[in-house]
Amino acid sequence: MSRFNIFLHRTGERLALPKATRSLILVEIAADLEDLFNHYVQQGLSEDEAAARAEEKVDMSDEALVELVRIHSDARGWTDRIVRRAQPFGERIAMALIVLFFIVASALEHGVRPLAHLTGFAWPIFGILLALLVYFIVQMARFSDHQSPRRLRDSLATPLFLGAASLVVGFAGTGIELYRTLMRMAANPEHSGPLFAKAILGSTATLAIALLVTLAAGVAWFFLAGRVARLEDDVARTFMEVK
Amino acid sequence: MTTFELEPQTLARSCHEALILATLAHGPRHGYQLALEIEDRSEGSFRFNHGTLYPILHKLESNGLIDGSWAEPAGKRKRRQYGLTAAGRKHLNRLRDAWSAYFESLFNIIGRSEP
Repeated sequence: MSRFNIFLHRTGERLALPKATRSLILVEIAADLEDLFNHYVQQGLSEDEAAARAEEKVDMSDEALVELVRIHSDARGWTDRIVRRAQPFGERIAMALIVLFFIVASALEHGVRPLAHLTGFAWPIFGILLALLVYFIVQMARFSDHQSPRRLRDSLATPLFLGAASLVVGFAGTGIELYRTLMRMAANPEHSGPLFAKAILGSTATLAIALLVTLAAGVAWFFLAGRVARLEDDVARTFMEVK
Repeated sequence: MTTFELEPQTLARSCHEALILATLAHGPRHGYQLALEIEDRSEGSFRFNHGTLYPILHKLESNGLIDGSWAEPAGKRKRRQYGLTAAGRKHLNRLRDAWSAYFESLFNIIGRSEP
């Protein structure tokens, strides 16, 4: 047992952060406490005095704790909660089935025919899908390469960005396609019906592809974020072992 | 290089950042080493409470100015060690220029002590 366990426990209770993040901060503080303690003992203080002095030196004000929580919570606290919330096996299976249902239902309903109706805006979406696949393969390689969780977490924004980009292209493409069609309809009122039907068909097909790519990006992010969270938990557990 | 001006309301934080970055420019350090070294080299003028040190270190790290890594010396507890990044070195130079300009302006007004 460390002589600073009570102090560390008290500090940990004041850190409103995910368990892994909190543990790593406490490990850092614990090491500094030990070093300061040794430093003061070498200076001639008794062990009790050295321990009290080290705790006093490391003690964090409420403002410092709030600042620390703010730094580590930026755009991460809620994502952490989502990922860790869905850790149970049953929930993950349910999520995989929902995704599978979307893909199978789309294929059964329309076969591959929607691809024939796609507008030109589908190409950037396929590009995004390709980028997502490459990213996913690279990330899996980085996992097997045992890279640090921090570096892995830093790159987790990429699938979210790709998913958002797919949505933007899909919706913007639909808007532009409809605008073009309306212009054509105004110029050729006698062909309005077929023009409008073609535009709606193309736009909805493209939008559906965009949504599926966004869904795939979300699933990729969820899967990778879950692995990073588990890796962080493992690291924190290892680090918290008292020497 | 972009000019960098010190804001009166963030002088203390900017000073702490400059002290930490300048100390790390000599090589990687642990948190407690940083605090003690700054205190020693300033002959007690700058006393760092570790409690205020962690938020600054973690902020500098999240901004990419320093890089934290875990070191495990033989037979000892794991320690968080910080080193200066290339971006941190650039930022330190900006801080040096800003603090020089700041003190120059200050002394232009208050003057130096007379013998």
